[in-house]
Amino acid sequence: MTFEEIKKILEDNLKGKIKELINPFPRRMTLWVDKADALETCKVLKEKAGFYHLSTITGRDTGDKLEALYHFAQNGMSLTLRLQTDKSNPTLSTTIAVYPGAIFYEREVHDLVGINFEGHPDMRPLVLPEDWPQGVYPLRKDWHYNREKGAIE
Amino acid sequence: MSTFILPVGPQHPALKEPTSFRFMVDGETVVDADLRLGYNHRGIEKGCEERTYIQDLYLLERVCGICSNVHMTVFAQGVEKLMGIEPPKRGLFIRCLMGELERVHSHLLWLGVAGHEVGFDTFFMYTWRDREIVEDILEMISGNRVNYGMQTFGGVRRDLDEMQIKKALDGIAALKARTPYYLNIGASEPTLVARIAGVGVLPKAKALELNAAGPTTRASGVDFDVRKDDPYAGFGEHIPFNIVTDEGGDVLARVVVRAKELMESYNICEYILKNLPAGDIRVKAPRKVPEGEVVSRAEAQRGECIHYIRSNGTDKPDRVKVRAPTLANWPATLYMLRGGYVADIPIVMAAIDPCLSCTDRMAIITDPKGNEKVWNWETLRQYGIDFYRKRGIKL
Repeated sequence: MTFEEIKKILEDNLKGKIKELINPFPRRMTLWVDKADALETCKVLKEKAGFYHLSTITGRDTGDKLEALYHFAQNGMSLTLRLQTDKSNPTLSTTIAVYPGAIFYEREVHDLVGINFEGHPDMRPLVLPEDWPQGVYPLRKDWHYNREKGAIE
Repeated sequence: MSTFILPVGPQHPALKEPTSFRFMVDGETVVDADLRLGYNHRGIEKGCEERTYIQDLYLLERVCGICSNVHMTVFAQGVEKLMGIEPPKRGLFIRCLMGELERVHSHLLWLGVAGHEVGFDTFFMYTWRDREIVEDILEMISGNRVNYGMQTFGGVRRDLDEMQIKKALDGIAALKARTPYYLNIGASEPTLVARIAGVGVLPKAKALELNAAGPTTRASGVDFDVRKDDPYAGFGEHIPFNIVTDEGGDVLARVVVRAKELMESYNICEYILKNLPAGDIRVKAPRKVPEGEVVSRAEAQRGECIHYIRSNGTDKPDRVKVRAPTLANWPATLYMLRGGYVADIPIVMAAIDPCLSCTDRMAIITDPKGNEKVWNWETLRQYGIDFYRKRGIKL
């Protein structure tokens, strides 16, 4: 489908919920909705707009907010869904009911950026060790890696 | 009968890099599977934020040894989009050529490993001998057998001359003559087929639902290939190729898909080498990147590789996200293992070509009351071979 066709489907099905819908590069589009509309948007993307594949989820620290970017794909188009949440209470609802393939991606984002996915059945750490301190998220901007000094230096 | 928990890993579940599995087994049958990653988490994404773009290019090449070139390609073409530069056609063709040569060496490596896991070491010796041909071509072009360092912002770093093109064509011709033999063995040799047919089945609906990628999903009949869906470098408009799919959905189908993809890759390489456009191989790239964000994708040998890059106007990126194809295939692998035999674990895990590193150590606890039995990977592999030997499948 072309950008115009997908845009029409999304505008028909998500009336008044689209904050931003752009086409920055050929075969790339970005959709921004409120986090409360996330599940409904995912359903529309999968069932109406033909985005059958979830490539991955990127977690990002924007400074004052946390952002989750869902990268969806279909033949000829890659769509990025942008959701934002407050840093004080970083929660999003899980999308594994619509995209079961999201199960590991959501765990990874939880590990590294610290967004809680409400309704996710298994929020154990996936990539960080078990003894990693609670509440420390390495991909946030306030976390810096300090290499320990070696014995010989 | 009660179920036992069978821990596999973290050292060496299948090929390279450590990962840890917990299999719930009921006698010979795997009832459920669980996964723990991160033993090789090196913080490359955070590292990228602290380095300049050109440093990141070489850091990202080291995400993986087998698909080093594809990570470099994805990052380079993403940053090129942000910079607003377009590499010359000759550069794009050489970029494609490197990607396809890398696919050839990886698929030949995988065919050998698959043979080894089921106890068919002759197959392993044959394919790895032929893999040397493509390694020699890669070394001749880039100077290296792995981590070629060929891609850069605005094109590629090394050109090909007439002598190199001729040698590469000779090598491809030799591989093209041999590969049909492997396809024939993989698809019709009765003992091998008895080990891999109907093992690790992934139906098409599940492949779509669990967002699998690469040959794993194509062997389940889904024609998902980034080279066609989202053409990059020279693919699509300039370089013709076909997508290989198979309806089988089992390990046999994955062997067939990879062997047929080898033939497609040879055709692509030949086409590129014979139709290499004249001109420059790269354009000059700026040091600072304008503010913006981009999603860049490419088809690695194991499936879709995707990078998300966000720039903030300086010479360092604000965020780089890397998703290599193996992570996309784990949910599907756990599905495939359920209901299968313990003896099939090695080949089912190897069938997605996981990017894990080998240390040859693994523990199995067969009795939760403390009656422990510790096996290493070699023992499990041998157990699988003996299991089928007793049932008359002798490779």
